[in-house]
Parts: sequence; C-alpha cells; structure tokens
Amino acid sequence: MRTLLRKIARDRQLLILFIPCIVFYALFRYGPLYGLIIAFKDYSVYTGILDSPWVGFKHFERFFSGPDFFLLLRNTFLLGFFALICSFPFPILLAILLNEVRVRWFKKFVQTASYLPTFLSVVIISSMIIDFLSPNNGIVNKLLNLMGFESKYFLIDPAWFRPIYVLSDIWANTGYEAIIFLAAIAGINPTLYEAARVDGASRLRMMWHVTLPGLLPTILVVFILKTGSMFRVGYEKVLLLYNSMTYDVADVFSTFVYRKGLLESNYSYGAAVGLFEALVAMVMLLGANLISKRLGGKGLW
Amino acid sequence: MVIKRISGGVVLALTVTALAACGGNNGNNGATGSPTASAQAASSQAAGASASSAASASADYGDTGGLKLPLVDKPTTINWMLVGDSPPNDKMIVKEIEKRTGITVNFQTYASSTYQDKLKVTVASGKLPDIFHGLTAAELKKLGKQGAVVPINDYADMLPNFKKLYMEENDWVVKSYGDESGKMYTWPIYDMNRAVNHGFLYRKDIFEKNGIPEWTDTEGFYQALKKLKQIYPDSYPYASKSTVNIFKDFAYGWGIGGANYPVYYDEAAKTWKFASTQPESKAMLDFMKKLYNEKLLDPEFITDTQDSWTSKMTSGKSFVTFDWIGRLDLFYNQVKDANPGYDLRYGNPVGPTGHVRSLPKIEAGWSITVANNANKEASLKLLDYLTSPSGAALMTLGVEGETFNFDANGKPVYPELANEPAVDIKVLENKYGMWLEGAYLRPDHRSVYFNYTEKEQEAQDKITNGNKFEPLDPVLNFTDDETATIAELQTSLQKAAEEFNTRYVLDKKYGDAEWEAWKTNADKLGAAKLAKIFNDAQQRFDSAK
Repeated sequence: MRTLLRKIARDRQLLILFIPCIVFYALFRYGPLYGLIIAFKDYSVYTGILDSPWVGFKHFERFFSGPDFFLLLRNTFLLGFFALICSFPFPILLAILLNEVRVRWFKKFVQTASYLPTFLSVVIISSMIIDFLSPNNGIVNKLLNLMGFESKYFLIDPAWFRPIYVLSDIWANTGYEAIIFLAAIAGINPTLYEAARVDGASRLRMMWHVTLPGLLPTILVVFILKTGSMFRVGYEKVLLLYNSMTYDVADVFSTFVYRKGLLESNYSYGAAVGLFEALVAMVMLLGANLISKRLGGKGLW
Repeated sequence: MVIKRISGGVVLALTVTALAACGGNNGNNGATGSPTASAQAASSQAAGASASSAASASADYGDTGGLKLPLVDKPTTINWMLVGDSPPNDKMIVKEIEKRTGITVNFQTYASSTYQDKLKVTVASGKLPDIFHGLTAAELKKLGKQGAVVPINDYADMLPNFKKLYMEENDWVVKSYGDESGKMYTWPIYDMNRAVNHGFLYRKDIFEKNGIPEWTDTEGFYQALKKLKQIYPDSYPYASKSTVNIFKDFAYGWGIGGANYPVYYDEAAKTWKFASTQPESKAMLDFMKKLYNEKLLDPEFITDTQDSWTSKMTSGKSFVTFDWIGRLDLFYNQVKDANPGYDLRYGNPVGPTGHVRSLPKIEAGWSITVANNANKEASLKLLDYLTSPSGAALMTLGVEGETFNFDANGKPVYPELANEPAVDIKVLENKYGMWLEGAYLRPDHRSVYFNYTEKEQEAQDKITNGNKFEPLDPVLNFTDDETATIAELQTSLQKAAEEFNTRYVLDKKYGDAEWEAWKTNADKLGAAKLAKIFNDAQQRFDSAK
C-alpha cells in the first residue's frame, strides 16, 4: 500500500497527464458498452434501457434459427476472408518495391498517387466503380470491346461481386497501408545492407534476406490485427454496390444489422446480431494471436 | 460498429435527457414552467398589441369552420417541433397566428437530416413539445397508450373542423388510423396532394420528329419503343432510375399496385393478396423481359443512379422513363440552352388496366400529434383552426391584401417577392414561414403549389379526364403483434420478390419452371401468412362500425 502511494506520488505528473485519456475511454469507449444489454432485452425507447424487460437469449435464438443466418455467415466469412488474403500482400509488395526506387521524384509520385484513393469517401469510390463497370459506356467494357470481347454487366453477376469488392479494396487501401511498412523498412539498420553488399548480394537477394526478415514482425502484427477485423465487413460499400441480383452473395452481418436495427427500429435484434459479430471477431483475433505465438513466438500480447 | 453507434446514440440520449432536466426550467419559462414569467411577458405584449387586437378580434378571417377566435382567453405559448431549415419565429406566420388566436407559437425547427435523431432524443427524454410529428404509426400508438399524447377524437366536441372532416364526412379515418380502442392520436393532413404526381414521361419532340404517335395502350407503348430503337440503334429507349422500385411503379398498370406493395387489395375479389405471385405479376414481368431482350429497356435499369439516368434522359440515349412530373421542367431547364426543342411530356399509363397510382386525399402518415399536458386544449384548437379554410389560407397562401393579392386570373401575387425568379413553396417558407413541413394541415388549392405549368396541367387533365386512377387500397389498422409479424415477413418477402423479379427479367434462362419454383418459395417465406394478416385486419375493419 505504502509503495503504491509512493509510486503514485512519484509519477503524479505523468498520471495527471493520463487522466484525459482515461476519461475519454471510460466515457466514449467503455461507457457505451453498457448499451449492449439491450441485446438481452425487449428495448423500447420510451421505457429506456434499464426498464425494458429482460428476455434472455430470445433475439439470439431468433437470429440463429432464422433463414438468413447461414447465408449471412457464409457471405461475411467469404467476403472478409478474400479481402484479407488477397489484399494483404499488396501493401508489403508496394513498400518493398518503393524502397528500391532510387529516383526520388518518382517514388514520391507513386506514393502520393497510390494513397490518394484512401481519402475518397466510400460513396465516391462506389459510384466510380459503378461508372467504370457500366456495360454501356464504362471504361472497363470499352477496353474489353477494343480487345474484341463482348460487353459484360459485371455488377449484376453474382460471380463478380466478391472480385469487385476485393479489387476495389486493394485499389483503395494499398497505398495507405504501405506507409506502415515503409516506416518499418526505414527502421532496418543500414549496416545490414552494407554487409550484404560486401558479401556480394544482389538487390533481389537483399530484399529477400534483409528487408523481408526486417519487416516480418510488422507483417505479423498487422496480419493479426486484420484477422480480427476480417469478420467486420463494413456495410457501406456492400450497401452501395449490391442490388437485387447479388443479394445472395452480398448480404453480410453488418448490412443485416443496418436493415433490421436501424431501418426497422428493431434495436434489440440488431444489437444481438452485432454482438454476435463482435464476439466472432474477438475469437478470430485471439486465435490468430495464439497461432502466431505458437509459430514464431511473437504476438500482440 | 453499428452496435457502437446504437449504444452510443442511446448514451447520448441519456446524457441529453439529463441536461434537458437540468436546463428544463429555463427552457420552459416562456411556456408553462412559471406562470408569473409568462404572465409578465404576456402583459408586456398585450400593452403593445391591445389597441390593434381589440379591433382585429372582430375582423373577419374567413371560414373558421365554426371555431371562435381568439382560441384562448389568456396568453399561451406553444412549443411546436417540426422539420425546417430556419426558425420562423420572427416571420409573418407566427405574428399572424398570435394575432388571430392569441397563441404564441414557438416553432422549434430542425433540418430534415437531423430531425429524426432530435425527435428520438426528445421523446426518450419524456419532455415532449406541445405539438410534433415524425413518429411511425406504431410508435405513436404506443406513446398514446402510455398517455403521453392526446386521443384527439375524445376532444372532438371542441374541434369542429376535425369532427367534420375526419369523423362525419370521412368516418373511416378513425377506424384506419386509430388504435384498437378507437382512439386516434394523429392529426391528418387534408387534401394535400395534386391529383397526379408520377407517371410515364416521354420525349414528345423525338416522337413527333419521327412520326411516332403517343401510345394509348401497352402494345402501342411497345411499338413506339421498338420504332425508336430502329431509328436510334445505339439508344435504349426506356431508362429507369428507380432500381427495384420499377416493379412497384409498373404494378399499378397491371392492377396489383398499392401503398403496401407487394401486398395489394384485389377490389374485384375483395381480398388482400401477395402481388408478386399473381398471374398479373408474371404478365408484367414477361412484358419487361420482352423489352429487355429486344434491348428496348436499358440493361442498367437495376443499377442506374440518378446521375447516370439524368445523363441518359437528357442526352438522347433514352427517351421514355417513369418519374415525378416535376422532372418535365427540371430536365428542360437543364438542357434548354443546348437543346431548346427538348420537350418531355407526361404519357399515358402502361399496362392492361391503364391506371396510375392515385394519391390519398387524407394522409395521416405524418403523425402530427399533441402532447398530453396543460397546453393540450390550446394545441388542439390551434390545429383545428389550421384545418379550417381560414387557417388553410393563412398557412399556404398568406394574408390577402398584406402578403399577397389575387391577379386577374385568380392567381396569388406576392409584391414583396417580385424579384424572385419563381415563387414556390420554399420561397414562401423562407420569407413568411408558410408551408412549414408538418404545420400545414390543409393546403389551400389557390396556393402557388397548385399553379400547374402547362406540361403539368396536361398531365393532370390526361389522367383526371380519363379517370385513370387505380383505386386506393383501404388503410388497415394492425395490432402490435401483427405489425411485428408484417415487419418480419414483408422485408424478407420483398427482398426475395425483388431478387426473383430482376432475375426473371434479366436472365434468359428464367421461364415458367422458375416461376412455379418462385411461387413455392414465396409460400415458404410466408406469403400466404402475410396476406392472411391483411385479410384478418380487413375483416375487423369491415365489421367495425
């Protein structure tokens, strides 16, 4: 007890500096969590969160036994999985390649151009996609026509929904996500490169034996974090890109929560589905962390 | 993420409630909080106004429907929450209402984008404004049962206009919009709509240039599109921006449309049916499929946005569409510099019935309601006054001789707005506070809103003269359980129907076998159950007196 007090006294300035942070998290991150109990209640805005009657797992049961459950589970998983696996290597590749570019202005140009799409809103990106893929005058179909192919109406073909989603993800995020890897590369000790060069390593060799191992911890951390969010497919882009022809492959948990919870004011039901989604995401995160620790001895914790 | 938003919103609501509780006294002083304060305010107002109010009390304000002005014997302030861009409290409307009724209205306006949030927070706080709108019918009934809002028809004796319009002349209103015990918490809007608002639009200039007559039936419509395709092979004659709603828009012409689509009332059979499995629906889809296969229907009809559709309709890529009639002039104004001959006109309905959607004369969907508090009688009387012809003129036309004069044609002219390029209801709202969304209860049909342009007039005449209106479906009253079941079934059925309809039109392989499979699937999803709920409610409706 005494040592604790002494420690507090010693670090008082640091602790005071820390207070706003605690307050922020308590108010805006942990405080709202209590609203989650509406997933176990029949919430009505008039009676309030606390006074609404408890209903146990009613909303969960309804969701799990509903006709949409397996469809949603499959779609969410596949969309998240493809987005993760396919888009993950690109920022790393871009960072390594950018690192090798010696012409400064070109490097700057590529970097800027590649992360510009990140600053566009999802709405703009989606309408650009719709425009590009238009069968009448979209640029993609114009190119296909030039090469002698027939126009294809990509957006109404269920088989194309996932590729479009993933490719546009890559296009929009690669540049921005490369920044963290570029920073990690900058942190690699230059003497390692010099030593490799003295030993006669080619640039390709140096990439393989110096840059990549230097990046590995960062890659692992980013990968684990992304696994955690894999199940959390954002609803905006799906909502903007799906249509009645692609409901089958495009409807995911978050669009379902949006429709049920917000559009139909079934707050409790929406909260239950959202809570389930969050729990799955947490299990995935913990699992990825565990696997990573087993394999390489490194994890987030 | 969504969960975070919901719970975040709830916490926000609670915080705001707490704040509102603290600050409540200040906010309410003018109203009911402190009698002395409001009395003081009133006496200072009365000092200034006493001379004129004595004179105006006897002035003739037109037909009040039997209501005596002023409405209150002591100064009263009413808080009225509604959608609006700027608070109108210093504008003509507030002063005029005060002069005529003795009631000072404190309008609390919120932009339509934030209104629902504010409303939910306010309702959750329990501190209701005296008058407000915007809840769903089910929410409002729930609130009414808790005693938070006033059962309006209980007060009918002091509300001559309400009684006349909604209990005597249209005795179905309370049956349709009231709750199970016959109490009605919503104040409807009377005769708000133009007769014709949506329909098929076509490029008259192009039709005339190529000697194509306007269609008068479905076959003529098809032939016209076909001829257009021959003359302009690169075009898709029919374009649509309504994505899956195209089925809903077309449905009226095949006799299966209605406000509850895909559930509709079959007038001949006197039964509610699930529209998307009826033979009429198949006929409609077959027709659309034919248009699609012959490249008469824009293949992007399911993904077109307002922008891409606009560019097609204004650049000669498409010539026929379905939309709101305001588009006739909107499009013309957009392209008249480059193409002065551009002439979009309202066309005849398409489909075997030859009908378009008709709009209800009485709309209760706004859920305008009165809080159950000390001001309720004043609030109710105020709403009743605004429902009288005199109040109607005030809220949507202005004060004759002061804000406007009638010209030789009987059209209102606003001297103070002479410099405006066009006087529409938005201009009147900004200048005078008229046409406030949720505050006009009976639009005066002499108002500028009913000044049809030549093209709009043509549309009105075309449909009204031929009486090409699909009959309105009855408005039914559902129990809470039924509402919940409908919400559940209708969403998944509607989604499945949209998906099937789209596939049926777009996929060459889809045919009779798929149609049969869809009917089975729809039944599995509860189509019959959904129709039964409507039919049960209809039976209750019919047996109620």
